Amino acid sequence: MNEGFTLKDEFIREDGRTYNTLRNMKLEVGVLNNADGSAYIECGNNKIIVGVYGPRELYSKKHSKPDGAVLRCKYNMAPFSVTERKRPGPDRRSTEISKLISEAITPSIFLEKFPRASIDISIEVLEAEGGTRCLGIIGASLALADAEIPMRDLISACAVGKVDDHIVLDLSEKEDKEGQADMPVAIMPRTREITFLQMDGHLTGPEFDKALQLAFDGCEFIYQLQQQTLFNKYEGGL
Amino acid sequence: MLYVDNKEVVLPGMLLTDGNYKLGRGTFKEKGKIYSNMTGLVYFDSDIVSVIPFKNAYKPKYGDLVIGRVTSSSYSSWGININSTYQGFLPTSELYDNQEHNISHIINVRDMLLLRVSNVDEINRVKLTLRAHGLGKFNQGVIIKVKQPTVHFLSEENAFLTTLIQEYTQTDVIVAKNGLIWINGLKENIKNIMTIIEFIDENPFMHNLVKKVQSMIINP
Amino acid sequence: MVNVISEVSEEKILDLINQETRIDKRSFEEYRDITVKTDYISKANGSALVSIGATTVVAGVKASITTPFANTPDEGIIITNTELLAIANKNFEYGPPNKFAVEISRVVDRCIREAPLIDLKQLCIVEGSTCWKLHIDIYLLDFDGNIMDAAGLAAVCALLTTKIPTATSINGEINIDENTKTKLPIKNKSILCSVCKLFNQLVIDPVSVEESLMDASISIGFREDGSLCAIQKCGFEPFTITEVRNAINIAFKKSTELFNIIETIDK
Repeated sequence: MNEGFTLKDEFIREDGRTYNTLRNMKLEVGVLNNADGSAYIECGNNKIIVGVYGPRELYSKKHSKPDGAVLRCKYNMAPFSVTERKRPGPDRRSTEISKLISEAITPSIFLEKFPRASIDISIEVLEAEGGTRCLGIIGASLALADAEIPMRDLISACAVGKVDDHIVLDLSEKEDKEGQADMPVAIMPRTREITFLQMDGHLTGPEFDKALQLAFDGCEFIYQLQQQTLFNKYEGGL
Repeated sequence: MLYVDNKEVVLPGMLLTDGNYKLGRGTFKEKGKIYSNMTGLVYFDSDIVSVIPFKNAYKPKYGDLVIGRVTSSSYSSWGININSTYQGFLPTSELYDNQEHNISHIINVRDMLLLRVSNVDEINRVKLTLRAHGLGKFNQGVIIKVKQPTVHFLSEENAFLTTLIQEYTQTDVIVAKNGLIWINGLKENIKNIMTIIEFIDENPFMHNLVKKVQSMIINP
Repeated sequence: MVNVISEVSEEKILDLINQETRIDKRSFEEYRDITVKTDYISKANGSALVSIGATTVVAGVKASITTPFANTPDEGIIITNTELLAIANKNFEYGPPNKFAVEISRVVDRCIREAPLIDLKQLCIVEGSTCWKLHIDIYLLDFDGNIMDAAGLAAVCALLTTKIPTATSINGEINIDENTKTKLPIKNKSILCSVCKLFNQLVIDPVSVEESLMDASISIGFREDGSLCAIQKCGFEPFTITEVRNAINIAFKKSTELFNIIETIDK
C-alpha cells in the first residue's frame, strides 16, 4: 500500500512489516441479528465486535435532550482479552476511552435529527493486541453506517508511533509497550478534519508532522476498506 | 454534474452532485455540493435527489396510516407503540363516545389499533387520531412486520398489487406505513399471502419483481 | 421498547405447535446448527466460540496462581462468570450481572464442578498455599434464545482445550514454566441440555420468540456415562412428574449429540 508515498525508509520492524504497513485487517458488517447495526473487526490478533442500537426514544427526561439525540458509547474489554485477566466491568481506562470514542464519532452524526432519542454504541474487545481504541472507532463508524443512521462521513482511525527512532504505522502490542511514542488519530476523510488525537511518549516537531502525515495515509487506506466492506454487503442483495 | 449513477448504492459522506438539485431525504448540502448522509440507493428525479435506505426504521409523517399497539394509558392519553423510534400518543379526547366514563371499556393496554398520524411536532412527538372512516380496533386477523422497501413497493409504487391480492384471495389486507401489514381471511389464504409478502421482503429490489409477484398471486 | 409483534406471534406459534412444527420448521427435538470454534482467543489459556443458530457465545478461560480457600486447602479454584452484553439484545443493559446472568453462571458452574469435569486436586501446587485459579468468562454476543446450552457448551469446550503452564514447587519456591504447557486434568466430561415447556409441549433449543412465550424450562447436566450432574428449573409454571421424566429422556438423547460435537474438538 501507499506506493505514492514519498518518505523512503528501509526500516524493517520486529514482525517483518515495513514502517507503513498495516496488520492484516478483516472488516465485516451486519454480524449481529438483534442490533440495528453491527461490525466485526480482526486486525492482527485483535478481535472487536461493535453493536449499535437506536435511535430509540429515551423515556427519562433527565437524560434526554430536546434538541438532539444522546450518543452513549461503551468500550468494554473481555476478561480473557488480555494476558493478565481483566476484572469485568468498567474501569478508569475504559471510561476514558468510551468518552474519547464518542467524542471522535459525534461530529459525523446528524444527532439533531433525533430529539429526545438515544443512540447506543457498544464496543466489545474480545481480544486485544494494541490499537483497540482506533479499531473501536472504525468499527463504531461502520456499525452506525450499517444501522443507516444519518452521517456526514465515515470516521477512519489508525495509530502511529515511534519505534527505535523510526516513525511507524499501526503499532503492535509490543511496539506499543516498548516504543518511544504512540499517537492514535481519527479523521473525517472527506473534509480531512481530525476528530480524535492522543499522544503519549516523545516526538520532536518534525517527527510529529511526519507521524501525522503517515496517520492520514493510513486512515485513508482504511477508509477505502470501510467503504468496500459496506458495498460488499449490498452488492449481493441487488 | 452527477458523481454517481441513478439507483447506485451510496455510503454516508459520498459526493452525489454539485448540480442544482433540491435536497430529498437522506442528503445534505455542504459548500454548494450535495452529499449522501446514509447507506442506501440514490434516486435522481427531475429536480430532486434522494437516498432511499435499505432497512431504515419508519419515520412518522402527517397523514400516514399506521398500526400500533397500546402500551400505556394515563388520564389524558394512551401511549402507542408504532414500530418507530418514537412512541405515539392518542389523546383520550379523540374518542367519539364522550359519554363513557370508564374509558378502559373501549381501549385497553395491548390492543392493536389502526390509526392515522394527525401531527408531528418539532421534537418528534407523534399525535395520532382515530377520527376517520375505517379506523379503530382490530379484533381478528394476523399482523406481520416488514421492512420499509416492502411498504414502499406495496403501497406507493404498485398499490394495485394490494388490490389484486385482496381480489384473488378474498381477504382483507391493510398495508400500514409503519411496516406492519394486517391480513384477515381464511387460514390457507393468509398463509399464501404471507409467503408472497415474505418473498417481497427478502428481495425488495429484484428485477421484474412486479411480474413475479403477479404470477405468484394468480397461481399460488 | 415492547415488541409489537410478540402478541401476534403467540397465536401463530400455538398453531404451529398443534401442527407439530415450529417457527423455523424444526421438529420439537431438534437443535439448530451448532458450530464450535476453539482456540479463538489466543491470549486466553483456553477459549471457544459457540453458536447455536443465531445465539453466539464466547467463553474464555484464564489461569492464574493464587492461594486455595481455607476449607479446601488441597484443591484448585474455578470461578464462572457470565455477561449478557448490551450488543446481544436491545433489552440487555450494561452493569453488574443481573439475575439471569448469575443464574446461568451458577448452573454452568455446577455442571462443571459436580461432574467433576476437572480434577481440582491436581490443580493444587502446594497444599494450603498455592494453587491454580481458573476464571471461566462467558460472553453472550448475540441472543436468539437458549443461552444456557450455548453457555454450557462453550464453557466445556473452552476447558477441554485449555492449556496451563506447568508449575512446580522446589524448596517452597514456585517455578512456572511458561514454555511447557499441559492440558487440564479432565475427569468426566459433562454437558448442559435444556428442555422448555411451550404451550404444554416439550421442545428443545427455543428461539427468542418461543423463549418469551414459554411456560417454564428445565436445564439438565449430564456426564458422558448418562448420569445426571445438575438440574435447574426456571420459569413461573410448574412441571408434572411425567413431564420432568420426559424432559430428562429428551435431554439425554440430545446430550449424546452434544457429546459427539465435543469429541470432534477434543482430539
